[in-house]
Amino acid sequence: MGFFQVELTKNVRVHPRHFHSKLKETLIQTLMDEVEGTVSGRFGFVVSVLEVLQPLPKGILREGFGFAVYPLKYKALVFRPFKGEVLDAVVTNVTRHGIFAQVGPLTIFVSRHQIPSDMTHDEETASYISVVEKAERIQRDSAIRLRVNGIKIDASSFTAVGTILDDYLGLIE
Amino acid sequence: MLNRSRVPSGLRSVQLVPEQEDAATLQLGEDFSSEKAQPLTISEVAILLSRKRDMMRDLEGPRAEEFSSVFKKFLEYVERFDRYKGLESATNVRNLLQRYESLDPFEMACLANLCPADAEEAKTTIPSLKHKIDDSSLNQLLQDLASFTH
Repeated sequence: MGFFQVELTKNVRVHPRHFHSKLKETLIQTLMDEVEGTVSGRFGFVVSVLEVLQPLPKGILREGFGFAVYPLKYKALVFRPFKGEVLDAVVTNVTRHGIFAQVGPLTIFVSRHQIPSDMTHDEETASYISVVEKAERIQRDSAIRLRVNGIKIDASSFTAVGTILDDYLGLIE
Repeated sequence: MLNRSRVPSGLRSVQLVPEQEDAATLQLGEDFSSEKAQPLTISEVAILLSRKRDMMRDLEGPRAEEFSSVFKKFLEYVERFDRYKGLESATNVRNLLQRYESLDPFEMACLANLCPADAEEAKTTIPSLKHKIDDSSLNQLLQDLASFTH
């Protein structure tokens, strides 16, 4: 669910001033600096570089620049959301239009129409309160279980829409 | 199905993920096939990320304490939703799941993460399980999983 270990490749460019005994450390550090925390539509969020595959490849000198390019293969921990999956998320904001919840840095919007009709929005406390069970309320920092209905991708971010309108979805904990 | 009329206007015009991707039927696309990607449980992720954090803290100089906001947000997330705290429980959960060979690795991670109370809940939240495992074996698995939770 969401988290995967995948094998990726990244062309790491190194300035000639690093062509010395610490080159390997420089390569690995540059790789981590360049990929950790990035987001792509294809692989999702790159959370952490787990391992750089050895032996390191030979660098290719870029003619006329002096830089060397190393196609590093590495194992990464990524988070990639999928339509149709059920996830637990933390509520960050409640409005009359719906609920905003997060799985790490991924925001998922649950529209008013995807919230059971027996939950009413309470403006004053910024929460959705169950008509049946008053103690049951969804508010900021609540944990909810939702199903991802759709995902939006752009160059550097993901946003998703979800629903809690099904059995076993909604408030948890 | 994404109901377009219910999507806020800001989300309407944007590119949507190809329709063939659907976790409910285990269609995760080429890049996330079981040969190419290994699904991890939240507990395994919690172990990997806290190890990384400790490793970074041991470094001296400007590199220490330098984490991306993506890293920090996921660390916070997995610490909150980790049901089987610690390496021993995480390993027990993994070993238990591996014994159910009919299950897809993605389904294994979902089961561990959602920890459904019974077979009906499991098959509703993870629909691909429906024809893979009978209710009594699934209930047994869920009971065993629950015994590792804290």
